[in-house]
Amino acid sequence: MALCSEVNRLEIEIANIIGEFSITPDDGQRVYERIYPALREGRAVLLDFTGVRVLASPFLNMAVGQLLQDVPYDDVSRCLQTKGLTPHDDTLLRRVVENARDYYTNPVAQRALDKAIANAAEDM
Amino acid sequence: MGVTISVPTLNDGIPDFEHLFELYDRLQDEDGQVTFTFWRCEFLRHAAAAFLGGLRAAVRLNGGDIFIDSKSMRSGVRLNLVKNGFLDADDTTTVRDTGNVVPFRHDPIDNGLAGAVPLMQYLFSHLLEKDWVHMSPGIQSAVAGTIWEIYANAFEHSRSDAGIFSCGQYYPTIGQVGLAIIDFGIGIPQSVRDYHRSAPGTDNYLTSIEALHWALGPGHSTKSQGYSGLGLDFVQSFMRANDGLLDIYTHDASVRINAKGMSYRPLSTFFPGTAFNLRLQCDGSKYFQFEGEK
Repeated sequence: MALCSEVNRLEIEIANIIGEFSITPDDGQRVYERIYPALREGRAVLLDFTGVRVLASPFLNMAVGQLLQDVPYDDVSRCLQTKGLTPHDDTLLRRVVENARDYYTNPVAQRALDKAIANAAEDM
Repeated sequence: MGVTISVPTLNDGIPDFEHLFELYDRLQDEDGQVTFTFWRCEFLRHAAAAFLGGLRAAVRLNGGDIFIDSKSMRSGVRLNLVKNGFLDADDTTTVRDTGNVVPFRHDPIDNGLAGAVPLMQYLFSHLLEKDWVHMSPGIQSAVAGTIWEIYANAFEHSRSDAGIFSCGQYYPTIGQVGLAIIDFGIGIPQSVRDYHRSAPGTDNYLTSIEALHWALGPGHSTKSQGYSGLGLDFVQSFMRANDGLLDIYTHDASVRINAKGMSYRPLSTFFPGTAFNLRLQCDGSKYFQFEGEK
């Protein structure tokens, strides 16, 4: 991925597109679909949480956590910026990112989980 | 002739939950008329109201019904169950003086995550914004997000045909508010075993306590596609850090989570679903806020 460009940085006002409760995976997916293409194009992304009253991990797992599947951790750290987070929510976001990094970069754990998923899928 | 059950005084400790689980075991396949009487009941805590409301819905799914004999109740018990809406759980239009109670609530599972916003409004208007809760707006939001993690888990994993049942109450004498969230689905151990293909007799068979332990670990989720971690791990760490107390009962296992840590205990009964019972400190002597929060 190219260095993230601040010139055409994408700003996403979460409260405007999701509302004051940013808590569901479906809403997180909607935000992910805006973030991911911009990061792949090498653009910086600013997530503005001003006006968000409640933030929860099911939302963040989808909006941000799954970025780690394709985007290196260092790039996410450098190019994804935030604004308007409470200290509590900032901690939550950091934990989501670190957990996702562990999940996507730990081949043993991922293989074990993928195997279980594959086995379960075979029975469906 | 239908079945008549005498409901005793029910608090929210392990023996009380075990009594409720025995009741569920006895009535889960009931397809006739059941009557609950309350002659022996001096007090019915919020968790029992949530559970009995859920049990009524489960019996109705079988084609049976539970009649609540309110005339057998002491006035205090009856008043509390009127306030929390348990006695009129099918009536969602009446506005009641709820006082110290967090009303009884039934969330059908097929509402799914579409029910997220009404649930948040319920938590704020009936619990977090009450004047007996001494929390800053930041803490209120953090608690709402934490409680949502429990609901999200139930919506996503419980497979509870009867739905999810909630009820709460503020107890001024002990300075605590309690909230119970109960589903009648497959339980956390089964969800974890399904995920790990862990069956009895296999090398990787997980006991209920082992499965519960796994579900509360960091980054663990039984979601079948893609990454989804944190939920219950975040709940337990938040409760431990904020003087809260959370009891989880599922299958034949329970865990108590508080500032001292996590304490697992086997149960002598078996409940196929999952019951969360959380308590938050809100005595007037302490105002909870984040460091640096205005």
